[in-house]
Amino acid sequence: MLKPSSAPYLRNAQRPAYQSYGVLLCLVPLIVLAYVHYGIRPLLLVLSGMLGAIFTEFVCGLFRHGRPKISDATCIVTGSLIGAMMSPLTPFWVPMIGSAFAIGVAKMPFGGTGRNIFNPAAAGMAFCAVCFPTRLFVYPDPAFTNSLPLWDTSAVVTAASPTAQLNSGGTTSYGWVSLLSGDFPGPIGSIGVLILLACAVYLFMRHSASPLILLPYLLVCTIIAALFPRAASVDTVTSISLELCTGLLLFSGVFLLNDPVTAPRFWLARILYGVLAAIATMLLRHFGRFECSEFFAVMLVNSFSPLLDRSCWRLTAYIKRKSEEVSRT
Amino acid sequence: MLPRHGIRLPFQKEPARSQPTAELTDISQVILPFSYATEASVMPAVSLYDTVNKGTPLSTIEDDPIAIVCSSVMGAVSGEREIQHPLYGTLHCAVIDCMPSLPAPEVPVPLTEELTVEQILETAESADIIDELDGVPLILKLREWQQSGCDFLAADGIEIEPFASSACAVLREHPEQVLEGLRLAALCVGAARYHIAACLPGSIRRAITHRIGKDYLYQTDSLYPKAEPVRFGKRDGRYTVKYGSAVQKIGVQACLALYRAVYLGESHDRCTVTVAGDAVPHPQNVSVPFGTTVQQVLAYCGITEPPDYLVLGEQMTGTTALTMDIPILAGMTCLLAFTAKAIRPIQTRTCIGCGRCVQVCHADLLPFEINRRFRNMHYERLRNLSPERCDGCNACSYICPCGIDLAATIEEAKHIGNTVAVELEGDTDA
Repeated sequence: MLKPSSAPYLRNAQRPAYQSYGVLLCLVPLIVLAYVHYGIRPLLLVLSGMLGAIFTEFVCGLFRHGRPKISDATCIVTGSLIGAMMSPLTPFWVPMIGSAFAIGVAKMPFGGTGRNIFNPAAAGMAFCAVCFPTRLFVYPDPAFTNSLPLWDTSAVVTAASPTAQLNSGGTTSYGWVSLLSGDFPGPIGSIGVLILLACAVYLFMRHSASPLILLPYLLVCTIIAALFPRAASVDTVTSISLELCTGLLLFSGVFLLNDPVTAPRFWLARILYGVLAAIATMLLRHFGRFECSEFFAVMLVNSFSPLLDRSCWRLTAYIKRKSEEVSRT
Repeated sequence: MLPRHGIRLPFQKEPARSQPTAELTDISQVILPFSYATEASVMPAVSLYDTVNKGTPLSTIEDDPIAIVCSSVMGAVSGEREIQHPLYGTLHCAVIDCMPSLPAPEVPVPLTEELTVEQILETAESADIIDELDGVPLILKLREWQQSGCDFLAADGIEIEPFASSACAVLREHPEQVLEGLRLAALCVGAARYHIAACLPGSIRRAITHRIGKDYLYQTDSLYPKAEPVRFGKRDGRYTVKYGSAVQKIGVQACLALYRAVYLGESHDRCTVTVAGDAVPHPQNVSVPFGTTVQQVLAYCGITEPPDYLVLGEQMTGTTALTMDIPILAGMTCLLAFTAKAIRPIQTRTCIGCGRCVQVCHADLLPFEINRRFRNMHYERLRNLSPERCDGCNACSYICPCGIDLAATIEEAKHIGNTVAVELEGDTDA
């Protein structure tokens, strides 16, 4: 007995979880590097972020559908990204609260996966930055740290991150070797600069991230860093390297800006989105209150995403129509 | 540099592509329509128990003589039937029982001297050649291009969908004849340049270029649905030749049929079909007379288990048939038989807005946005997104990780958008 069906008969095997697993895979080497520098604590922070996100998604799923839905793994990605953006000294409850906010306030009330306006991880981090700034931006000095204690971290030697040093207008002693080897104070996921670049290439190949967003973003950040160095005493090359390699600039460019739900889909809109994100990031770095404010920039440009999509699509359609009319005449 | 839209589909052309084409000769019955034209006033030219030869017209049509169908076999008319063909709709058909013992038909004397354009066109018309690319009679296309002008004529054997390899098989076995048929067609339409475009593996490409030279074979990339020709043979590597608006395309099999009609005096009575799918243990290209039923073709290919899905055409754009008792007619180049194991029902989820559909859409649409407005019943805003530009390539439905049939939604949006627009205009007038 033959059955009816409709084309295409065989579909692409990639399911929504495919992109989530790609991001999770990328986070593994970053956490391994953090483990090498700071011990088991960064891993537990990421796990606590995941736990908070899964629990909140579970509860919200029970309320919304009567059954929990975590099979697409997006909540795990959100939780692990929040954990990876924390300082290694942050208490374990902070990423849990941040993840709960991300899922419970920034994602599920809008309709769940695919319908949120703002990147949940960025929203969760913004919430933590506003509520617990003293616990978020205190970093251990890697020169004096081999393995961080799990609970009482008061005895750990702390150091100002290069971003904080630049923010205060001073100079910094971290050179190329320190920046590339992750030997500088910073959030867990941001110290592996080379790993982040490799992750970007990997995500490009999986179509989970777009070079049309990341490359304009990095390019405009580079130009602004070259033209307007935050510390007057550093040369152009040092200014560029410090701006690009420190803080969450690269991390948010690779993971947060390329969130498939909140990023634009049209190619021209993606380029403009990257440019706008870079401008917002550098403005917040120059004039913002927090030393790591990339997540605020991400949320800011998230709100423009639908507008960029439609206006850029209309613009290109108009240009194409006009050029066709001209060629016809 | 603007991004190129499209997808690379996983090719499953082997082993059919590399094996010789089988010729199906031992058939018991064919079912041929009296005409493809449903509106024309068709007068059957044969009646019950009449014997027919290859090339015998089955009907007479006064207002559309091109729509006449000729017999593809020797045999006797054993009945008439109405069939519902998934591709052609309702067809009034003659059932012809094959009788190979009949005397061989009188073959017209092939033309040997230098041909005039009108001679070639007359031969193409009398041979009843139908272009397999779109099912349109070749003579109609040639006459239209002759009047409108054509600079560049291409024999399209690209086949960038996963299973089809019939054009590749024809090219591999008859490259000189295809090229000569293309040359004749180019002569008719006044095209200064002509080439064969195909997406071939290296070994087959080399074998073909060895026989016809490098200048007439353009290798294309495999980006679905619009593959760009990439020419080989230059010392400085490859370069891209973009299809301009002046390039017209005809099928490889139509070129071969034109060659055979002109030089051998044969009518177009066969086509090469790729038979594949997981229900077919030995996928192959089979040359079958028009009118051969799908059942006979599948039996010849030796299906091990009855298929659950029968697809006429390729997997991206084909149509399912609900019976195997339908004939293979001009315009069909692929026949897929799948079991329920291969085509599992897709679990559809809500759109996650990943944008993959936008990346693959070669018509530069926003499929996710059309889907969203359609689902939210914002019909009056659908027209702004130009869904009418969709050509139904189904690339968006294929790539969607949520299993949403975006192409079907866009197709519905086309009609609803137009209806709402007409209603709004009516309101304004009132």
